[in-house]
Amino acid sequence: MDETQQRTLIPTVIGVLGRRGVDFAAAEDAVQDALVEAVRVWPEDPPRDPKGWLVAVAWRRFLDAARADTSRRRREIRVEEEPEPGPPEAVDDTLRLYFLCAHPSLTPASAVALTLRAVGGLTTRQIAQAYLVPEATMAQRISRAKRTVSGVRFDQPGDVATVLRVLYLVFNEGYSGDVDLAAEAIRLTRQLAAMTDAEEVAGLLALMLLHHARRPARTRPDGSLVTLAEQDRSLWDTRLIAEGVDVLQTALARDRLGEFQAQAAIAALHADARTTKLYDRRGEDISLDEVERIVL
Amino acid sequence: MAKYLLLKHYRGAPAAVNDVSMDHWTPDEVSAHVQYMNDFATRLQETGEFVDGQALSPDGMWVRSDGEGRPPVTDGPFAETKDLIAGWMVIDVDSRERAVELAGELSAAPGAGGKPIHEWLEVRPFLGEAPTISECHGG
Repeated sequence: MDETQQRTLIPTVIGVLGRRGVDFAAAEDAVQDALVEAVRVWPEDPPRDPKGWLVAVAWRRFLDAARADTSRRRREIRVEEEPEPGPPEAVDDTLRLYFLCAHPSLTPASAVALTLRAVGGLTTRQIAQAYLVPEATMAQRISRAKRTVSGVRFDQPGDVATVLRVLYLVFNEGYSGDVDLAAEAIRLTRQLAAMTDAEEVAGLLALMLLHHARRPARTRPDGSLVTLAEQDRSLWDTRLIAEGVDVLQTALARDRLGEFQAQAAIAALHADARTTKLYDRRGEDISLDEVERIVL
Repeated sequence: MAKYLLLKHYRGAPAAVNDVSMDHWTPDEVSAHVQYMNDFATRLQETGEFVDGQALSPDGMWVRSDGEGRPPVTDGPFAETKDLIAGWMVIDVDSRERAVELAGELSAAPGAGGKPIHEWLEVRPFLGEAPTISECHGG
């Protein structure tokens, strides 16, 4: 199990603690502690059941923290008063985390940081490095974000548009630091697309794939930008382009065009308008002029 | 989020309202000034907006290459420099408005007589990386 696979477990583990009655902020803290421990221990001593390991360590961390907390009594009462946890619903848990971390009450920067930690399973240190700020600053940003959403009910559906905005920001941040934020944004959007049926999720995923495919051709060795017309197309990842066009075409066929689908269509047609064809629901060609009229 | 550099000048900036230079302050006034800046930095750490802050000594020198195989040339101290930077703070904030607001607050650090200096601070945005999806609109 590589690091990316490990990270897919994080939202699920937060969900498990949530169903045991732990509130989001405490669950997320405990899981982050467990994650930091996993980063330290797993390379030498990988567990046979990574998810079980994370749940056990996170649960222990939560109990330790709850004991150390001066408001211990209050919290224990609250935990007992929580309704019985329902049946395990890993997908729903993860989806709810996307909504919570992108809650409209958060500033874009807070939503990005919280999403990368609770949904993406990155450590505070990794997020701080990616955004070139001190770890203490990022830690504060995240804990403030958690306080902001502390009153939000975890079981309410949110607006997928706010989630997409956050993922778009992560993707657009670029590639500084250890963590490839563009690849991470694609991973999180793929995961979201597998859980929801919204056309715009597919639109954003396609947009990311199409841009990511051109990444090797986008910069010169000195870091300067190469415009689309000048890019060496042999460097493009044709597999990603094919996937992006495919994802986009499926969404477009449902005839509910939105901003991300339109942007993806432009990216697809700009990339290769001679051979790439996009069709609407009636099977008619979608032209570049047409989508550009919608977006611009 | 965008990063901004708040630059504090020893000289070179337009005159402050409370325009008594630091070498004429009492030790208590200097301490109060430094305390204000430290408190300010702590508050920004708590809001998740602090990146870095340093004070610079007025000493220093100019250095330039003198060609391959030769030691660099140095010059200084800055006797003839009109503009001298005293220190900086780097913040990471949601908007330009927020950067201006914080710079305004920092400019009100106390000086002589414990009164706000109202000094001019230089506010410079970082030159960020181009966003991944920008080329799309540019063609």
